[in-house]
Amino acid sequence: MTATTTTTGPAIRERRPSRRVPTARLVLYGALVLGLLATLAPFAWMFLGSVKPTGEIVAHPSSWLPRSPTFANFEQLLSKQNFGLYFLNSTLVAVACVLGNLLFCSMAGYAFAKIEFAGKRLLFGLVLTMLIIPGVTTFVPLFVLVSNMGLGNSYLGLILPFLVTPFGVFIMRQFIRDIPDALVEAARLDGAGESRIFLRVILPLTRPALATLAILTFLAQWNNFLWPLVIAQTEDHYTLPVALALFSTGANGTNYGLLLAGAVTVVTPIILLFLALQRHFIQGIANTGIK
Amino acid sequence: MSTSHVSKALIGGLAATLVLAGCGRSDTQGGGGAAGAPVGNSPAKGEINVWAMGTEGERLPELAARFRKANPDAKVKVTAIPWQDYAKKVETAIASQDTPDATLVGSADLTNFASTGGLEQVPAGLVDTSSFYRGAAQSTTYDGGTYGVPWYVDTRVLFYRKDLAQAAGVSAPKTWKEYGPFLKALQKEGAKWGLALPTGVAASWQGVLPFMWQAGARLMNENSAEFTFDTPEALKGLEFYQSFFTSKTSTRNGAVSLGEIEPQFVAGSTAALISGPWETALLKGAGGADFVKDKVGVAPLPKGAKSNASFIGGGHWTVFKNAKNRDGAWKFIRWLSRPDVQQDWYELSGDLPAVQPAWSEGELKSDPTLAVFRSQLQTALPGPNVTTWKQIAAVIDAEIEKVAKGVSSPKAALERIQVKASAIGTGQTR
Repeated sequence: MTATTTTTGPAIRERRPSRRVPTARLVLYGALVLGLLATLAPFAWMFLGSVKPTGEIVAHPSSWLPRSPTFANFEQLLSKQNFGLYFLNSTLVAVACVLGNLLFCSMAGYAFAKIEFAGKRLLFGLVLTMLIIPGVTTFVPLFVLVSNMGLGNSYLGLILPFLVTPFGVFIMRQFIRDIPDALVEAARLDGAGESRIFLRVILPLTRPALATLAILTFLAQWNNFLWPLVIAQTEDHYTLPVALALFSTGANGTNYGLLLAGAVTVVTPIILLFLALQRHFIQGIANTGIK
Repeated sequence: MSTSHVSKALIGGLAATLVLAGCGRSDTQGGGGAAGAPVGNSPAKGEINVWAMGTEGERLPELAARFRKANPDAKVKVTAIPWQDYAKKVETAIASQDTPDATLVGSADLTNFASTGGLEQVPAGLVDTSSFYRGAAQSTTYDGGTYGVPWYVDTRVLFYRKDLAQAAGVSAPKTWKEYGPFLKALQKEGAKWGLALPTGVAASWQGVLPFMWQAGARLMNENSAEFTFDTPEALKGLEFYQSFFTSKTSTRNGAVSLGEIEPQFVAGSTAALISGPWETALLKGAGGADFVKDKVGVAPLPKGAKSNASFIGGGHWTVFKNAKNRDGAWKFIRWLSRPDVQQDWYELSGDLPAVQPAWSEGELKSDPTLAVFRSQLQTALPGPNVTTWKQIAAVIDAEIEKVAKGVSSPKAALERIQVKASAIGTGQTR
């Protein structure tokens, strides 16, 4: 859908220079609206499906609007033991990881971008290497490590491995590199120490990158399934995705009503978060994407 | 400049990683261990940690509470785990030696877990192996040892539209000969397709290997050392599978996801399907209880030249080698396979008992639908117990798809399966 938008847009504008712009606009907007609808349709289906009885969700032929709307799926979901706890667990893990990433990734990023020290290249190379190595290969060793530290089945075990990520360090380093050295040097001449420079000069200037990092980290942790599944040894440490999989998917069938209601519950906080950070987020993507 | 800086840094990092990786230990775990000490008859003691998946995990605590009455000093702690990716969790637990005492596993996965060396063999004399359905007991063995105790079983039977069959004046087919005409008769009553068959999605083999078994094929030789897919019997089975497509009884584009076929069956556009005991609940969800009562017929699979074998699945109990309370775990498992406990579990969960004597009372004895499953279970078979089965199954699925879509002959498909399966091997060095 986006492909059509980008190809038809400029082509038409070239052929009809100035006056017929409205027509070109119309075509462009038409394509954009189609793209928007295609993007929103699954979400609409999810929200509408969550208030349908199971029979209606799988009905053939299907209909968009629920014929007999019901909140039974949500009631069933919320009646599950501990559901509030799973929600809380997810929030705790995601928020802790976001805070950790914001602090540590920007600190590491600052060091890699603005401070000279021995072995910097090698260390940064290791960070990049971590980006390349697929997570599945380090999965079992990581689990063995965490479990040997006695952190199996603990919140710390859920959070610690993701408190700082190579991706975050990379984003922050690239962003901070573009802050003029003059600013840092001026602060240094004024007698500011590294921590003061970092807190007072660097951090305020990296807000867009921090917002991007925050939402990406939150998203990754909020949706993380495999690690919480493996590390949590008792149900009271489950996060939402794990609990949802437990309730809605069986060995031989899926409870689609429950699954959709759960998906709505999982997605809504993310949509709210995105709306809150929208301005910073788009700015951040534009800035970091250029490189 | 920035790019070259980054790439140089990357090269340095990669080199350092390789050096570090070279220092790592390389230990390969051996296969299974010897059977553990026998388990006595005294009551179980201490905390027994078990994993159970999905609905089983949600319902098991209720049953476990009854175990406590007979064993007041023992406490069973059940952790419910999603079926999704549970194998990863079990494998990781084994690798880190940080395991609970026992876990439920899918019958098809047991071989793989046993091959890691993380499971204990079932102590001699714990349960009467001959009381289980043969197919279920067969899937608990690996490399000459027994690593699991069957808990519940499932198998696939024929679900058909009873109302269409009545209108057409036909009754459920008993043999391959009656199969085609029966389905054609249902199609004449308005169904677009006679029978839903898997056409290449993952695990299609579970629906297609039975045709080969029914024709008399054995897919491995006597000592399970080599695959034998290139036999006339296997060919007959696969040709029979193909005949459903050439006669336009089945669509070449079968369902690709769970839950896709039920609405078509309810709408009457597909007249029959092959599925397990869970199907009744799915059909109730899609069409309502009255639909199931009035319009759904259930029959054993029609018999080929040799048998009417179907695929057997289900859940087995296993105990980890690193169990802290192995004695308690085995006692709990022994208790779970008692016929009366199996009946209780059927009432709690609807899971079909793996222990045959459990079927001699109540609903399990009298219900006509359950009787169909019961007779089907007698002949049902598991897939071959080799650690490489997942790889080979993927090959089979791909070849099944070629046959279903009409781009390969059954003979050529079997030859390719044979060649690739032999190349992959059984994972054993004998």
